Amino acid sequence: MKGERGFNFSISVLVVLVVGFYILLFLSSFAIVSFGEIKTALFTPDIRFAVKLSIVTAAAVTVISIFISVPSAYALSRLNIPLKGVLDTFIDIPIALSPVAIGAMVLMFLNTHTGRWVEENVLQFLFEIPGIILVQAIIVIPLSIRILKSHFDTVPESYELVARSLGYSRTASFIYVVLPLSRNAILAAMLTSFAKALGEFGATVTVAGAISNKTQTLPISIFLSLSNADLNMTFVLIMFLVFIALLNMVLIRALVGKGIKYD
Amino acid sequence: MIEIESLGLKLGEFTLTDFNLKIKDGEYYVLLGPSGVGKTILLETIAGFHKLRWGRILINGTDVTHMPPEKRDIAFVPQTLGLFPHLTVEENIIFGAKAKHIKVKDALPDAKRFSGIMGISSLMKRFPHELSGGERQRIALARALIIKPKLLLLDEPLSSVDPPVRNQLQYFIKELHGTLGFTSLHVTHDFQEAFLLGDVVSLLLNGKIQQTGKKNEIYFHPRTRDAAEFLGFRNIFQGEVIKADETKLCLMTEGIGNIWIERNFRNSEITVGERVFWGIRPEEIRILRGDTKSEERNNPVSGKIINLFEKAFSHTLIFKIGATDNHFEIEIPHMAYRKLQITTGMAATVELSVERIWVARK
Repeated sequence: MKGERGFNFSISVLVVLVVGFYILLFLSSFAIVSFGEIKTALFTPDIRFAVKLSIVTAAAVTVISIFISVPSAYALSRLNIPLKGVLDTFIDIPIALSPVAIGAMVLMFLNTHTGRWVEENVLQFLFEIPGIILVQAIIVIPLSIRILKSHFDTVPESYELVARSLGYSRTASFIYVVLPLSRNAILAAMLTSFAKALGEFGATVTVAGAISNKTQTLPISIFLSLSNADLNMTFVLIMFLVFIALLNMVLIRALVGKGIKYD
Repeated sequence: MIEIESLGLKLGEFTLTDFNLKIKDGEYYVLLGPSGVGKTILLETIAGFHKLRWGRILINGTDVTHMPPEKRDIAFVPQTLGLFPHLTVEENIIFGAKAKHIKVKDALPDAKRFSGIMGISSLMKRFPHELSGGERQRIALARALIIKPKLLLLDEPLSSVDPPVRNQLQYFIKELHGTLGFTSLHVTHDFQEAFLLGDVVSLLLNGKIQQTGKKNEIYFHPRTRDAAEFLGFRNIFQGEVIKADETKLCLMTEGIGNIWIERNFRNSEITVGERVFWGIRPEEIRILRGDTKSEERNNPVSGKIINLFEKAFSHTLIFKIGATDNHFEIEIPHMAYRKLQITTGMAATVELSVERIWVARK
């Protein structure tokens, strides 16, 4: 009993210390900024542009990601496709790789014959907004697939079998049964994708550069303002990201808590 | 008429070969077998969810072997029931109508009629997680039957409900079948459920149908030792046929002596000299009273009661046969137990009814 209390006390202290450290890190930003100047920084065109660009690109990435990851995750969960294990592993690689490495690979691809042809005839990615969306999508899609595949694995296949025996085709049973049952998981995947895209820095700066008023997303703005030793601007940008991240996490927790119970 | 001809299937470790079945219109067909013999896979194959290696499936003469599930007109109720958790009871019931492009307002009168028959009218606006196990069963049945399928497949539909509710539902399904007359293939591992519900029962063991017939035929006359064991026969012995005439067979069993059994179409091919298995159900062994005349005794066997167990609805007696180590397990109702004043260690003579002994070739 005494040992159990000691164990419980130790792990409780550990979790308080960890959270305390993050709070300290967060509060330390307040100690070194001048609040009089923050108000001015808040309304500078650079910040407004960075916020707008980040939200637009993250939203675009989220939409693209969900259209690709829902069917991909469903296929990995339900179908017996050849080399499924290999495909499943490959999808995880971008999650494990450094974003800079992914950015560098995209950069190298755009320098191949095919890449140059795409740049000249289809869409320009290098140092352009489509480049931001492309690299962020490359990073976000595997994460979204992983979240959704874990969800589809838990949805009993019997629902689809019943729907099919009641006259629904494979596609119709996916649309009328699987998608409604997956509503919360899809929303959670979308929120995670949005948060991940919004905070992405390494790959974005490698492919799109840090061009003021063109490819300057929120994380890139943080990097630039810190390089210029503009702590007030850095603080405001951090607070924007913290606010959006908090909102995201609250929504995800609410959705996960309201999961549908299956048979 | 549903006909399954020479069906063959290989799915992972599971193999089924040369499986044949015929279900007449309006028949309640029960496939009985222990867990893990592939009953669910078989149903899913009939429903169209797995590809056949060999054989074909005919519904009223139409070959549906290569049709997708949604075109077969076969309704499937899985073991978990598969009630859609995001839909109300009403939406679940009319779900099949939507697939046939029937408007909701046109499907509702039918849903109302079925909910009346099923006794679930008051639950229409509720969600599945708000219902009891028995109510959920009724809704799954209503949803499947409302589309008027040519065949209803039921996969252990009562396995997840408590015994008292299970009994009520068994009676309910029996009555429902009487009212609506649907054609059904029901799989179960519970032989009491099979005998209560089935017009025809097939016994699936070791990947093959061992026996098909009316329930009494299977219950009292299993054709193999495996079938007998699965059906709960606990008194199984080996013997040798020493005499045979047109009306009776005489089996010699070491330690028990000669046992006479009825000669009929089931054992007409068994000849003198053959080694066989024979047995009798525990509830078919009768303890003879001391005043029973010897000429009225059928296969009398003497011994003593060495143990007895009181159960909810009966007593189980362990009867040691003569001076041997062989035992009979005997099941008697409480009333008979009290009347005969049975005690442990009591000497007794039991009778094995000539008509109730089954025999199977070794």
